[in-house]
Amino acid sequence: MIRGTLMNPHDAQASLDGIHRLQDRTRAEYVRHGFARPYLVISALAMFIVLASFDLPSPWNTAAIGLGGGLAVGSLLVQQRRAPVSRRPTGLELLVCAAMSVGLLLLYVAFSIVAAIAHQKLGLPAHHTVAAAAITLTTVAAWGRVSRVFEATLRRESRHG
Amino acid sequence: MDPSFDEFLHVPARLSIVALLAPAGWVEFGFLRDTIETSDSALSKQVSALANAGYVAVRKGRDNGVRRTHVRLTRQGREAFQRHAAALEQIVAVARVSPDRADLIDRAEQGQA
Repeated sequence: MIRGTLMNPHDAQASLDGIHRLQDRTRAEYVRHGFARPYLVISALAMFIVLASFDLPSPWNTAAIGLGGGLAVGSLLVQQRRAPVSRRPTGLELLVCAAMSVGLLLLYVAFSIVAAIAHQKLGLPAHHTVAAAAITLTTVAAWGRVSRVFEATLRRESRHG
Repeated sequence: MDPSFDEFLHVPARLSIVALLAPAGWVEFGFLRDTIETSDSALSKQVSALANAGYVAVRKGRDNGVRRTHVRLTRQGREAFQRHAAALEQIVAVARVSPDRADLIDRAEQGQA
Protein backbone atom coordinates (compact mmCIF):
# COMPACT_ATOMS: atom_id res chain seq x y z
CA MET A 1 0.00 0.00 0.00
CA ILE A 2 1.34 3.45 -0.85
CA ARG A 3 1.02 6.01 1.88
CA GLY A 4 2.60 9.37 1.21
CA THR A 5 6.18 8.85 0.11
CA LEU A 6 6.79 5.53 1.91
CA MET A 7 6.19 2.02 0.67
CA ASN A 8 6.30 -1.17 2.66
CA PRO A 9 8.91 -3.61 1.19
CA HIS A 10 6.42 -6.46 1.63
CA ASP A 11 3.89 -4.58 -0.52
CA ALA A 12 6.62 -3.87 -3.06
CA GLN A 13 7.43 -7.59 -3.20
CA ALA A 14 3.71 -8.41 -3.54
CA SER A 15 3.46 -5.95 -6.45
CA LEU A 16 6.48 -7.53 -8.13
CA ASP A 17 5.03 -11.02 -7.65
CA GLY A 18 1.77 -9.79 -9.18
CA ILE A 19 3.64 -8.30 -12.14
CA HIS A 20 5.51 -11.56 -12.81
CA ARG A 21 2.31 -13.60 -12.49
CA LEU A 22 0.50 -11.40 -15.01
CA GLN A 23 3.43 -11.42 -17.42
CA ASP A 24 3.42 -15.21 -17.27
CA ARG A 25 -0.32 -15.16 -18.10
CA THR A 26 0.39 -13.13 -21.24
CA ARG A 27 3.15 -15.52 -22.32
CA ALA A 28 0.94 -18.54 -21.58
CA GLU A 29 -1.87 -17.06 -23.69
CA TYR A 30 0.55 -16.41 -26.56
CA VAL A 31 1.70 -20.05 -26.47
CA ARG A 32 -1.83 -21.42 -25.89
CA HIS A 33 -3.14 -19.68 -29.02
CA GLY A 34 -0.05 -20.47 -31.08
CA PHE A 35 -0.27 -24.17 -30.24
CA ALA A 36 -4.09 -24.42 -30.24
CA ARG A 37 -5.62 -27.71 -31.45
CA PRO A 38 -7.41 -26.36 -34.59
CA TYR A 39 -4.13 -24.94 -35.92
CA LEU A 40 -2.38 -28.20 -35.01
CA VAL A 41 -4.91 -30.22 -37.02
CA ILE A 42 -4.65 -27.96 -40.08
CA SER A 43 -0.83 -27.76 -39.91
CA ALA A 44 -0.56 -31.54 -39.52
CA LEU A 45 -2.92 -32.08 -42.45
CA ALA A 46 -0.94 -29.61 -44.60
CA MET A 47 2.33 -31.35 -43.71
CA PHE A 48 0.88 -34.78 -44.50
CA ILE A 49 -0.50 -33.65 -47.89
CA VAL A 50 2.79 -32.03 -48.94
CA LEU A 51 5.01 -34.95 -47.84
CA ALA A 52 2.68 -37.66 -49.19
CA SER A 53 2.51 -35.85 -52.55
CA PHE A 54 5.81 -37.50 -53.58
CA ASP A 55 3.84 -40.72 -54.19
CA LEU A 56 1.51 -38.98 -56.63
CA PRO A 57 2.14 -38.70 -60.38
CA SER A 58 2.51 -35.31 -62.06
CA PRO A 59 0.55 -33.00 -62.14
CA TRP A 60 -1.27 -34.30 -59.01
CA ASN A 61 1.84 -33.97 -56.88
CA THR A 62 2.09 -30.26 -57.78
CA ALA A 63 -1.59 -29.79 -56.97
CA ALA A 64 -1.12 -31.53 -53.61
CA ILE A 65 1.88 -29.34 -52.75
CA GLY A 66 -0.20 -26.28 -53.67
CA LEU A 67 -3.09 -27.47 -51.52
CA GLY A 68 -0.86 -28.26 -48.53
CA GLY A 69 1.05 -25.00 -48.86
CA GLY A 70 -2.18 -23.04 -49.18
CA LEU A 71 -3.62 -24.70 -46.06
CA ALA A 72 -0.45 -23.94 -44.08
CA VAL A 73 -0.30 -20.28 -45.16
CA GLY A 74 -4.06 -19.77 -44.66
CA SER A 75 -3.91 -21.30 -41.20
CA LEU A 76 -0.96 -19.09 -40.27
CA LEU A 77 -2.76 -15.94 -41.46
CA VAL A 78 -5.94 -16.76 -39.51
CA GLN A 79 -3.86 -17.63 -36.46
CA GLN A 80 -2.02 -14.29 -36.59
CA ARG A 81 -5.21 -12.33 -37.20
CA ARG A 82 -7.09 -13.89 -34.29
CA ALA A 83 -4.23 -13.90 -31.81
CA PRO A 84 -5.28 -12.34 -28.48
CA VAL A 85 -1.61 -11.65 -27.82
CA SER A 86 0.79 -10.82 -30.62
CA ARG A 87 4.48 -10.16 -30.33
CA ARG A 88 7.56 -10.07 -32.49
CA PRO A 89 9.55 -13.29 -31.98
CA THR A 90 12.96 -12.85 -30.42
CA GLY A 91 16.18 -14.33 -31.79
CA LEU A 92 16.05 -17.18 -29.26
CA GLU A 93 12.46 -18.03 -30.19
CA LEU A 94 13.40 -18.14 -33.88
CA LEU A 95 16.38 -20.31 -33.00
CA VAL A 96 14.16 -22.75 -31.06
CA CYS A 97 11.72 -22.90 -34.02
CA ALA A 98 14.58 -23.47 -36.46
CA ALA A 99 16.04 -26.23 -34.24
CA MET A 100 12.62 -27.93 -34.03
CA SER A 101 12.19 -27.69 -37.82
CA VAL A 102 15.61 -29.22 -38.42
CA GLY A 103 14.82 -31.99 -35.90
CA LEU A 104 11.54 -32.68 -37.68
CA LEU A 105 13.28 -32.76 -41.05
CA LEU A 106 15.93 -35.21 -39.80
CA LEU A 107 13.23 -37.41 -38.34
CA TYR A 108 11.35 -37.33 -41.66
CA VAL A 109 14.53 -38.33 -43.50
CA ALA A 110 14.98 -41.23 -41.05
CA PHE A 111 11.34 -42.35 -41.53
CA SER A 112 11.77 -42.04 -45.31
CA ILE A 113 14.88 -44.25 -45.28
CA VAL A 114 13.13 -46.90 -43.18
CA ALA A 115 10.03 -46.74 -45.43
CA ALA A 116 12.19 -46.94 -48.59
CA ILE A 117 14.01 -50.02 -47.24
CA ALA A 118 10.65 -51.60 -46.35
CA HIS A 119 9.45 -50.74 -49.87
CA GLN A 120 12.45 -52.55 -51.44
CA LYS A 121 12.62 -55.55 -49.10
CA LEU A 122 8.95 -56.08 -48.24
CA GLY A 123 7.17 -54.35 -51.10
CA LEU A 124 5.61 -51.67 -48.84
CA PRO A 125 3.37 -49.58 -51.10
CA ALA A 126 3.31 -45.75 -51.13
CA HIS A 127 6.33 -45.48 -48.84
CA HIS A 128 6.37 -41.64 -48.95
CA THR A 129 2.82 -41.63 -47.63
CA VAL A 130 3.84 -44.02 -44.83
CA ALA A 131 6.79 -41.76 -43.89
CA ALA A 132 4.50 -38.69 -44.09
CA ALA A 133 1.97 -40.37 -41.79
CA ALA A 134 4.73 -41.35 -39.32
CA ILE A 135 6.18 -37.82 -39.09
CA THR A 136 2.71 -36.26 -38.87
CA LEU A 137 1.68 -38.56 -36.01
CA THR A 138 5.01 -37.92 -34.25
CA THR A 139 4.44 -34.16 -34.54
CA VAL A 140 0.91 -34.43 -33.16
CA ALA A 141 2.11 -36.62 -30.27
CA ALA A 142 4.96 -34.23 -29.40
CA TRP A 143 2.88 -31.03 -29.78
CA GLY A 144 2.03 -30.62 -26.08
CA ARG A 145 5.62 -31.16 -24.98
CA VAL A 146 6.90 -28.74 -27.63
CA SER A 147 4.49 -26.05 -26.44
CA ARG A 148 5.73 -26.49 -22.85
CA VAL A 149 9.37 -26.23 -24.00
CA PHE A 150 8.49 -23.09 -25.96
CA GLU A 151 6.71 -21.49 -23.00
CA ALA A 152 9.61 -22.34 -20.68
CA THR A 153 12.00 -20.75 -23.20
CA LEU A 154 9.93 -17.54 -23.22
CA ARG A 155 9.84 -17.44 -19.44
CA ARG A 156 13.56 -18.11 -19.06
CA GLU A 157 14.43 -15.51 -21.66
CA SER A 158 12.31 -12.86 -19.95
CA ARG A 159 13.86 -13.56 -16.55
CA HIS A 160 17.40 -13.31 -17.92
CA GLY A 161 16.73 -10.85 -20.73
CA MET B 1 11.05 7.56 -2.27
CA ASP B 2 12.81 6.73 -5.53
CA PRO B 3 11.77 9.35 -8.14
CA SER B 4 11.29 6.53 -10.68
CA PHE B 5 8.45 5.17 -8.53
CA ASP B 6 5.38 6.05 -10.64
CA GLU B 7 2.36 6.66 -8.42
CA PHE B 8 0.09 7.00 -11.45
CA LEU B 9 1.16 3.56 -12.66
CA HIS B 10 1.03 1.93 -9.24
CA VAL B 11 -2.78 2.03 -9.15
CA PRO B 12 -3.50 -1.77 -9.09
CA ALA B 13 -5.76 -1.84 -12.17
CA ARG B 14 -3.29 0.21 -14.23
CA LEU B 15 -0.28 -1.78 -13.04
CA SER B 16 -2.10 -5.02 -13.95
CA ILE B 17 -2.85 -3.75 -17.47
CA VAL B 18 0.71 -2.60 -18.04
CA ALA B 19 2.16 -5.84 -16.60
CA LEU B 20 0.00 -7.87 -19.01
CA LEU B 21 1.06 -5.69 -21.95
CA ALA B 22 4.78 -5.65 -21.14
CA PRO B 23 5.81 -9.05 -22.64
CA ALA B 24 3.73 -8.51 -25.79
CA GLY B 25 3.05 -6.28 -28.76
CA TRP B 26 -0.69 -5.86 -29.38
CA VAL B 27 -3.00 -7.47 -26.82
CA GLU B 28 -6.73 -7.95 -27.27
CA PHE B 29 -9.04 -5.98 -24.98
CA GLY B 30 -11.05 -9.12 -24.13
CA PHE B 31 -7.96 -10.93 -22.88
CA LEU B 32 -7.08 -8.00 -20.60
CA ARG B 33 -10.66 -7.83 -19.26
CA ASP B 34 -10.90 -11.56 -18.57
CA THR B 35 -7.47 -11.83 -16.97
CA ILE B 36 -7.91 -8.82 -14.72
CA GLU B 37 -11.49 -9.95 -14.04
CA THR B 38 -13.04 -6.54 -14.54
CA SER B 39 -15.85 -5.05 -16.59
CA ASP B 40 -15.60 -3.52 -20.07
CA SER B 41 -16.37 -0.05 -18.73
CA ALA B 42 -13.89 -0.22 -15.84
CA LEU B 43 -11.15 -1.45 -18.16
CA SER B 44 -12.01 1.20 -20.77
CA LYS B 45 -11.66 3.88 -18.13
CA GLN B 46 -8.19 2.70 -17.08
CA VAL B 47 -7.03 2.17 -20.66
CA SER B 48 -8.19 5.71 -21.52
CA ALA B 49 -6.26 7.09 -18.54
CA LEU B 50 -3.13 5.23 -19.66
CA ALA B 51 -3.63 6.38 -23.27
CA ASN B 52 -4.03 10.00 -22.14
CA ALA B 53 -0.78 9.68 -20.22
CA GLY B 54 0.88 8.40 -23.40
CA TYR B 55 1.59 4.98 -21.89
CA VAL B 56 -0.55 2.86 -24.24
CA ALA B 57 -1.86 3.00 -27.81
CA VAL B 58 -5.29 1.66 -28.79
CA ARG B 59 -6.23 0.13 -32.15
CA LYS B 60 -9.82 -0.63 -33.14
CA GLY B 61 -10.71 -2.93 -36.01
CA ARG B 62 -13.13 -5.54 -37.30
CA ASP B 63 -12.67 -9.27 -37.90
CA ASN B 64 -15.55 -10.90 -39.80
CA GLY B 65 -17.91 -8.20 -38.56
CA VAL B 66 -16.78 -8.57 -34.94
CA ARG B 67 -15.33 -5.42 -33.37
CA ARG B 68 -11.92 -6.02 -31.89
CA THR B 69 -9.90 -3.59 -29.81
CA HIS B 70 -6.18 -4.08 -29.25
CA VAL B 71 -3.91 -2.28 -26.81
CA ARG B 72 -0.15 -2.03 -26.68
CA LEU B 73 2.45 -0.25 -24.59
CA THR B 74 4.09 2.78 -26.16
CA ARG B 75 7.83 3.25 -25.79
CA GLN B 76 7.13 5.83 -23.09
CA GLY B 77 4.85 3.38 -21.27
CA ARG B 78 7.38 0.57 -21.52
CA GLU B 79 10.15 2.77 -20.12
CA ALA B 80 7.89 4.01 -17.30
CA PHE B 81 6.95 0.42 -16.44
CA GLN B 82 10.58 -0.71 -16.43
CA ARG B 83 11.55 2.23 -14.19
CA HIS B 84 8.66 1.50 -11.86
CA ALA B 85 9.48 -2.21 -11.61
CA ALA B 86 13.12 -1.29 -10.94
CA ALA B 87 12.00 1.08 -8.17
CA LEU B 88 9.94 -1.73 -6.59
CA GLU B 89 12.92 -4.08 -6.81
CA GLN B 90 15.09 -1.46 -5.17
CA ILE B 91 12.67 -1.09 -2.26
CA VAL B 92 12.77 -4.87 -1.76
CA ALA B 93 16.57 -4.99 -2.14
CA VAL B 94 17.11 -2.22 0.42
CA ALA B 95 14.89 -4.05 2.91
CA ARG B 96 16.88 -7.24 2.32
CA VAL B 97 20.21 -5.50 2.94
CA SER B 98 19.00 -3.57 5.99
CA PRO B 99 15.93 -5.15 7.62
CA ASP B 100 16.06 -2.39 10.28
CA ARG B 101 15.13 0.12 7.63
CA ALA B 102 12.14 -2.01 6.60
CA ASP B 103 10.97 -2.05 10.23
CA LEU B 104 11.42 1.73 10.33
CA ILE B 105 9.18 2.09 7.28
CA ASP B 106 6.59 -0.25 8.81
CA ARG B 107 6.58 1.80 12.01
CA ALA B 108 6.38 5.07 10.07
CA GLU B 109 3.45 3.65 8.08
CA GLN B 110 1.66 2.69 11.26
CA GLY B 111 2.28 6.21 12.53
CA GLN B 112 0.71 7.69 9.39
CA ALA B 113 -2.33 5.38 9.55
